[in-house]
Amino acid sequence: MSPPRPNGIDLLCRKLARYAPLSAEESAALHALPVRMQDYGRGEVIVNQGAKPDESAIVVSGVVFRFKLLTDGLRQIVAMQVPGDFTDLHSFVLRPLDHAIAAASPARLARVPHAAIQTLLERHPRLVRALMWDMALDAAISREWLATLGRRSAYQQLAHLFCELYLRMDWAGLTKDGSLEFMLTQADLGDACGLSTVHVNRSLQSLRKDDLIVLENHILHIPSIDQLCKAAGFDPAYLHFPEIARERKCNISTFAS
Amino acid sequence: MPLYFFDIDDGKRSSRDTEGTELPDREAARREATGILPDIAREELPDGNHRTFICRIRDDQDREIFLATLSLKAGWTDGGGG
Repeated sequence: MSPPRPNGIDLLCRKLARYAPLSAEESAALHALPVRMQDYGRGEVIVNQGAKPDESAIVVSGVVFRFKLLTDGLRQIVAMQVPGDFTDLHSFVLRPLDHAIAAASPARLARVPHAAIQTLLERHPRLVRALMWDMALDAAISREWLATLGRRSAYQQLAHLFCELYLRMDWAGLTKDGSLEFMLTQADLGDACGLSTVHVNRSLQSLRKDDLIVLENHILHIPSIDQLCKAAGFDPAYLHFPEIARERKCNISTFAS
Repeated sequence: MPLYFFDIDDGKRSSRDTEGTELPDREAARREATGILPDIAREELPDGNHRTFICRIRDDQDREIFLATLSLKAGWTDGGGG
């Protein structure tokens, strides 16, 4: 019998354990959170900019992204979330939301009322630090994106984004033989990198020519993650994967089991 | 949406767009062509004093419909060198 597909809470527990191992009680309390499952279609807006949600959501399946809507109608994608990630844990303390959230692929979210998070943190004070770690990790990823947007070429920006998404999906057990489901459009990639669609297209063609990626039928295949990381100037330290920290001495390795 | 092809020559290598990009209309294609040149120039420079970047748009019938050129001309003006 194959193991059950991990749900968002399982992955969240695994993620928080990267900060400090969870006790059985803490893990049970996270699993007992009253969640409301909701499904979204590709491109669907999940939360609007300026909303004051009274829930935070955990990604169960699919990929979602945070984006800022500018006054001239342009979008800038500022972060991506994969299964196990909170889309907006910060809305527990920071409201209204200064960004919107949308589904980059068909996605299922587990919505948790803020009141339940409050109770959880009162009963399990160690989880306060674990969730602070989670928000600090979000901030570390944002800093990397900021550096990438400001200083890397279009070619490197795209390669960097693919490296990050690949390693995060791989950690969640959602890659197979160097491939992952990839539903982002060229317009989405442009909005994530601040590039025109044509520039994205040109840079993708260059990455293909250099045999760094194969992108077909919504599958992104990366023949060699080490080569792609090298091309991107990608250092995975900011993702704070303990598994990678150990492996980094020789090269960047993935978690393929 | 119609498909437009953007061939780019950055002065060192030219690339023929084999995939194309779907855009709502000719005006959107024009904006892409003129917008991409400074973006590419920013990445390719600085490398010498003269450089020409060209973007040609072809429509889905393989007809050239638009041409954009961006040139860099730079040089010392005091008779010396760098």
